[in-house]
This record gives sequence, C-alpha cells and structure tokens, in this order.
Amino acid sequence: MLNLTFMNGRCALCRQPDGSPALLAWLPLAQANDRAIEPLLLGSALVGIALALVALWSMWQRRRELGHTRVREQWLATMLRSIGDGVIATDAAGRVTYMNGVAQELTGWKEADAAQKPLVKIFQPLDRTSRLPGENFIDRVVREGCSTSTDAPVLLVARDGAERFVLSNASPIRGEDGAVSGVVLALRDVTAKELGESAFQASQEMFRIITDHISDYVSVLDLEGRRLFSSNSFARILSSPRDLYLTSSFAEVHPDDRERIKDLFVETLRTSVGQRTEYRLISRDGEIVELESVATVIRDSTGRTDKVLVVSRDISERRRAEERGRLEREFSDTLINSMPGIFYLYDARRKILRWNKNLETVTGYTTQEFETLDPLTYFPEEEKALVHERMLKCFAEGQSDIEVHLLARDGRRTPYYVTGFRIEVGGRPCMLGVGIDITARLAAEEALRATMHRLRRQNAALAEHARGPGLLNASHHEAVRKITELAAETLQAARVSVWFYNEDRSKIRCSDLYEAVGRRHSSGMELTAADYPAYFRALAEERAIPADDAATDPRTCEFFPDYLQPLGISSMLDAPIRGGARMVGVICHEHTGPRRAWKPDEQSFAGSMADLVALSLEVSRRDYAEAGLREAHASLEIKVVQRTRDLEAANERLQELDHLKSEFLSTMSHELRTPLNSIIGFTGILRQGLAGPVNEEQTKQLGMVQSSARHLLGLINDLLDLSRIESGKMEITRETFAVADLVKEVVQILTPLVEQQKLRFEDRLDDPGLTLHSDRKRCFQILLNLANNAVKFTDVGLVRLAVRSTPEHVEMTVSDTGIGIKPENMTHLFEAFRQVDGSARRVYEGTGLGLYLSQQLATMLGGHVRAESEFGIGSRFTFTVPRGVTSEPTP
Amino acid sequence: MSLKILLAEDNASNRYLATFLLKDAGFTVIPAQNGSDALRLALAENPDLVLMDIQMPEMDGYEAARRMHADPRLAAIPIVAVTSYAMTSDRAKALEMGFVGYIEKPIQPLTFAAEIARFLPEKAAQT
Repeated sequence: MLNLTFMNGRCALCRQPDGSPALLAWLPLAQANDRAIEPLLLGSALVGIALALVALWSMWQRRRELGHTRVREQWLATMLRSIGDGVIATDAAGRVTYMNGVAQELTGWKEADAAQKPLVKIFQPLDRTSRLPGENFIDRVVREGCSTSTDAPVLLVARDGAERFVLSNASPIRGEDGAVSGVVLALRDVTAKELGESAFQASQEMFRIITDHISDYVSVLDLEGRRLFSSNSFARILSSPRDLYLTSSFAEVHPDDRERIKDLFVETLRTSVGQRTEYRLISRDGEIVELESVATVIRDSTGRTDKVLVVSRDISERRRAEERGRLEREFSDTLINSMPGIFYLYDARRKILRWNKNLETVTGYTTQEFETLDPLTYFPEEEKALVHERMLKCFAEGQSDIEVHLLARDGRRTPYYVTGFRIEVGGRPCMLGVGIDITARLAAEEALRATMHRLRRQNAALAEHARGPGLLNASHHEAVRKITELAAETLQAARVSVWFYNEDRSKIRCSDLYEAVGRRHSSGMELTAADYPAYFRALAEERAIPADDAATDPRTCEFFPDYLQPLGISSMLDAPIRGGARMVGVICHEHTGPRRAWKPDEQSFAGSMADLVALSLEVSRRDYAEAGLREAHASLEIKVVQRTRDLEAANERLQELDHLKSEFLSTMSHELRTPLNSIIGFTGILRQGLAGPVNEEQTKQLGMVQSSARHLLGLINDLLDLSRIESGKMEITRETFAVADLVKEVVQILTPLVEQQKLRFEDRLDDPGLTLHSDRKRCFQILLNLANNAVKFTDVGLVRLAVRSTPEHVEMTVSDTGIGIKPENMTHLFEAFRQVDGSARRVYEGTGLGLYLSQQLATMLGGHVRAESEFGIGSRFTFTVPRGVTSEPTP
Repeated sequence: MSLKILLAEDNASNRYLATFLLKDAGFTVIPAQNGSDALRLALAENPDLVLMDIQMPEMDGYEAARRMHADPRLAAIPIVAVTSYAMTSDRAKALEMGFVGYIEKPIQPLTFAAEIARFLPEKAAQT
C-alpha cells in the first residue's frame, strides 16, 4: 500500500491525495504493481545509463587523448547507437557536441545541424500542463556538478512540432582535473505510456462520475459476492460505499428473493454469462425497493472470471406507474364495458384504438377481429356514405351525431343514435363515438305518431260535431243516431249502440244501434239483468268496460253464445252515460275480426261519445224546462212592470200625502191659533180687570185658563216646527243679539215656575256683553226648552244656567239636581215623541218633542245639544252654537 | 178727535178682542170682515192705520193691501199685518209687500195697543 500511495503521488494517477481504496482494489493488482514499479526502474536505469555513458565517455576521451584503443571507441559508438534512449552530449558551455540517432529522432535535429548549437535550441523541456519552459538543468548540472533527473515526464517539442513526453537525466562530464567539461543528457521517450496512462485516468474518472450521476446503482463484487466497489448512489438506499466495502451483496436482498439471487450469481460465475433479473431489496429505511439488475463478469488478463459487475436500476416507481396504468386501464375497461351503449375510439386513419364489449355484442365481431376492423364494416352499405361524412365532420368540427343502424355480422340491424367527439390521444386527433340503442325510442315514437293520428281523427270528429248544427238543434233521437255513426267511423268499430236503463234498472233498452256494414240503424232491443247478471254488475260500477277479448272477459263472456259468436265480435268497449249524478245508460263499441287492444285515447274517446249522448239528453230536457222558464219569466216581467207602476203611484200618493200633511199641519196650526188668540186675549183682559172687577178666586181660575191656553199654544208651535223640519221648510233668520237679554228673557218666563216649585235658580254669564249672530228666536226656543226641562224634572234643589264663550262658540249650560236619566235611556234622549220614562210621562206633561226639536234646531244653527246625566243625581244639557259673523248687519 | 183704525179680521171673537183693546186705548175702530169690506171702508172712512189679518175669506189681506197700495187715495195709509201665520217667510213677505208692521197672534192684551201706536204716522200720533 505504501508503494502504491507513493507511486500514486509520483505518477499522479489519482488527483485525490487519499484516493479511493475501492478503486484501487478494483484495479488489477498486477498491472498496478507493474505500472507502479516501472517508472522507478526506468528512472534508475536512465541514471545508470547516463552515469555509465559519462564513465565511458570520459574513458573514451582519455583513451583518445592517450591514443588508446580504437576498439573501445567503436564499441562505445555502437553502444550509443544501439541503445533505445536518446543521448546528447554538450560541452561546458552547453553547446551540442554529440547526438545519437534516437536523440536525433526525438528532437528532429540532425547531429550536423545541431552541432555547436546551444542545447536549449535542440531540447527545451516544457511543463506538461503549463507548457512553459522548466529550469535549465544543464546549467545546474554544470554549476553544481551533480546529475539531475526530471521527476515527471516533460514535454519535448521537436523541430518539426511533434510533441513527445520524455524522461531525462543529465550528468556532468568531468575532465582530468575534475572540472566539469560537459554534460551528457539521456532521454527516454515515454509518450506511449503517458498517453495510455492519461486515458486510463480519464476513464477511471469518467467511471466515477458516471457511477455517481447515473440513476443506476453500480457495484463490483468478488467471487463470493462481496462488494469491492459500490457507487455513491447506493448510499442513498443502503449505506455509504465505504461501509459497504467487502460486505455481502445478498444481505439486503428480500428474503423471498435471496436464494434465487444467490443461485443466479453462482450460475453467472459458472457460465460467465451475465443475467438480467428483477428482485427486491430492503432499504435501510425498511422500504422495499424493486430492482432490475444486470450482471457482467469481469475477466482478468488471463481470461479468468475474477469479478462481477452488477448494474441495478430502481424500478419501484416504474412498477407503481405500471400498477397505476393497469388500474387505470382496468377502470376504463370496466367503465366503457359497463356503459349502456356502445363506445369506440379510432384515429383519423380509422384504426380502432378502444371499444367496449357492447360493440362486440351488437356487431357480433370478436375482440381479435376488432383489432383490424374498419369501423365502416359494421354499418349498412347504404348508410356508409353518411357515416363517413359525419366522421369527417366530427374531425373537422369537433362533434357530430347521427342516427344510424349498426350492422351485425349476421345481418341483424340495430338502430343507434351515435355522437362523435374529436379528442386528442397521444397528440393524434381521434374520434370517440358513443351510441345508444334507440329501438325502444323509435318504437315509442311510432306509437306516439299512431296515437297522435288517432287523436287528431277523434278531435276532428268531435270538432265537426261541435261545429255542425247537429247536436244542440237536433232532436234527442237524431242526435244519438249521429253519435253512433260518428263513434263507429272514428273508432273504426263495426257496431256502435246506445242503451238506456229502464226505471228499476232491471233492463237496458237500445236507443240506437248503428252497423258500419250496410250503414244500418235499428233500435228497441232489450237486455235484462236476469239474462246477463255479470254484465249488469259490471255496468253498475259505472266505469268503462274495455274488453279486449270479449269472449273470455268475465264481464262480457255471457254474450258469447247469443251474440258475440254469431256476429263475430271479438272486442268490446262500453262507456257509461251519465245523466246528472248517476249513470243512465251505456254506449257500446263492438269490434269484429282479430282481437283489439283498446288504447287509452280510444277509451277516452268512447267516454266523450257517452258524454255527448248525455249532453243531448240534457239539452232535450233543458229545452222543455227552458220553455217553462221563459213563460214564467215573461209573466214575472209583467208583474214587475205592474208592481213598479203601483209603486210609482204609491210614491206619488205618498208625496202628495206628505204635502197634504204639511199643508194640514200649517192650516191646523193657524186654525188652532185663531181661537187660542181669543182665549188668551180675553183671559188677559179679564184678569187685568179691563172688563170689570174680578174676585180672587176668579183671577186664580182665569190664570189657570191662561196657563192651559199657553201650554196648548206651545204644543201647537212644537208640532208646527216638527212639520217644518220634516218638510225641510224650517227657515233660519240670523241677527246679532245680546246673550244676556236672551238669558234674562228665559229667566223671566221661568221665574214663576221656579218660585212655585221652591227651587233655587242661578244664572251666570262670564261675559255680560257677549253677543251672538244667529237665529235669536230659535236660540231662545232651545235655551228655554232646556231650562224648562230642568225645572220640570227637578223637585228639590238647584237649577243653574251658565253661559261661557270660546272664540268660536257660545256654550249655554243648564244643570239641575233632578231625577237624572238612566244610561240605557241616554241614546233615545234626542228622538222625537219620546219621554225617557214611561212613568214620568204621567207626572211630567209634554209632547216629548222638545229635546228632539232643540237638537234639530241646534244642528241647523251649526251647533248641537249635548246631554250628561247621572241617574238620581241630576243632568246637564249644553247647547253649543257658533258665534257667527257679528259684523254682519242685522237683517 | 181720536185716531181711526181700520181693523180687518174675519173671526168675530178675535175682531171683538182687538176692538175692545183698541177702544180701551182710546182709538176709533172701524171693523171690517174681509179684504173687500176693508177696501170699501178704507175709501169711505179714510182711517189713520189699517190692521189687516192675512187669511180671510173673499179677499185675503195680501190682496187687500196690494189694492190699497195701488189706489192713490189709500196708498199713504200704513197697514200692519196681524196674523197667526207663524212662518218667518210670512213676515218677510208681508214687509216686502208694503206692510209697515207684523204682529203675531195670539196678541198680548197688555201690550197690544202700545204696539199699534208705534206704527201710527207722526202727525196722527201727535194729534
């Protein structure tokens, strides 16, 4: 090892001073030794040769000088010519004196040309890397008198520009006196070796770099499988290369794979043939690493296998990717195979890439056949052009669809609706087609078309019937005949008949039977419940009876021997006729020939026909009812006119009577007042004694006459007022007057009564100068009425009359400590002809008009009368009247 | 010579009442039973004042007053309505038709004569 290390330094085999033991171990030891020892020997030999030459030279010079042996001279010359090294001799000044053939070849200088030229012109050693001249060691040899060797090969640039690596040794030539008289330079061409070594170095380095950088793991094993070299990449999954040195390469192999790998290793050694294998390794983290390895044997110089190179690749990721890909593929296979329709994917050259099982099933081709099948193969000849056109459209526009038949190998055709999408697969435009079986849809469409056709026919029939003059104007019998014809024609039934129940629903009687063949009508047949109980029971459920197979249908089978069989009727469709709330009959549609399945719309149409019969029945009944109604209506109108006329007359009469009443009241009042004038007047004259003296008793009685007469006058006045108010003839005359005067007048009138009842009476005026612009007479009348009531209904205590004013109104309040008014009577207080208490009427005389008139008058003056009372405690009446425009002059 | 008052009143009792009160007050009373009677007596007697009931048979008070006003010989005599028509419009109508006063029945015995005196022409009253 020491040698090796030393040798490495000298030879710079490895730039890293420590070097790699593995690398060294990997090197063939024998070669390494050879290469390590050779430069040493070479250097030593060269020194020896140089020294020997110098000795010979000195001797030769001496002999020549002494005239000694020519033989020796010749021997020396021969030797100098025959040795493989170049030899150049110089004098002490460094000028060339001799060159042998090899030296001439190395330097490109002929001896004759080089003679007496400075050595540096002939041989200038350059540093191999810097290419700069090194030390002029000839000078040093001359100066120091000792031999000098180059440690490392130097670069010699020949006269012709050729470059060579040489080792050199220079030794001094000493004369008799011991002084240096010249130098002998020995040169050995090591070019071939140097170039070989640098290539080796480069390849070694390259190997290291490669093993460091390639993702593969590289190891070199000995014959026992121990690791001599491991690339750094191993460090990532196992351990550092240094730690792996000489460890068994089988240790980390997955136990399940280990024996197999060992066997394979032995097999490799035995056959010297490298094997490729896959196995699992347990990483230092405990992970399983999938490896793919290739082993190659390395032979020594004798051709014997002595090492094994193993290159391994981590394929875990690839394995996972493969697994994922497999799952993806499985998933997509499952997906497309579980699709309800067909699925296919092909490229622009119509090469199919994927398809599902359904496509195979529908077309009948096998998976193998599909691999090479042109998609157009499974389309019918006449549709191929269209399919191709749509394919091109799909590639051009990205999408297209088509309704087409898939043609199976056995000729079967299945209608499909196919949608094509252009997609990119692996950068290539492809068409993806998905299709669904539209057999059912087409059948449904066909059925729908048929239904629509029937419905149109039915609607047309109904519309024609509705438009025509037919039903509503025809007699019932006529209408039914039309309906049976219409039903037979529209439903294409052989026979259509209309039947009605009898009173007790024990039989049905045929109103009309229409037979399409012969266009015959007949009627009058009867069917009894006793003969056909099942049918009558079915009828009683009041539902349609669609009997597709009338002969076996339990509801209709009892007709078979008498009716169905003789007439060849196979199917029946009966619909109930409803009149009002219950079923009144049935309309029967009978079909001959092959059995017929009655469609829902046909049943519905049958129902419509039944409704038409019912309608016709109702119309005929209604016509009758309407005639009666019209008659009743006409007579009613006459009555109404008569009654209106009566009412108008009565109204006129009432108005007349009202007028007469007013006139009567007016006249009566006048007529009543005329005698009262005399009564009051004469009573006054008598009481005054104008007609002669009267005694006290007479005066008292005359007073009573006068009082009664005045009371009567009051009643008459009230009645007159009432009549005026009711006829709207009450007139208001406004003037400005002093409220104080008004109050005074009222007090004057009431004083005798107050004194008579021994009541206290107070009157209070906030503003003695207060004036009102209103109807004085009416104000007086109202106030007097209220005050008079207070006095009249108060037996004991106080009556107070108070007047207060606001900017807008004057309030005159009369309060008393009288009998009061019950709350329930308050609402009737201001109604005409009412005295609140029936019993009070007897005690307190009056018409009951007073408060009513007061309220009415107050309202006419723009004011009102308000009552407050507490029963048994007293009452308070307030007359509120607007102050009016006082500036207006008195009329 | 006392002042002459023509009294047109169809009701005998009332005519007597008024005559009694007016005579008691010192007036000369010329009673008339209706409008036409009143017209005739007015021409004949040339009274200082006429007391005229409105509602009277044959010719009512309005008509009598209209004719008096229309007759230059009678136009100057003041006419006072004495009536039991109690409508305000009656009063207005009467004043409009040239009556100088309007007295409602029933008459007040105590004040009747004094009320009448207010309507007498000044020269007549002074005499």
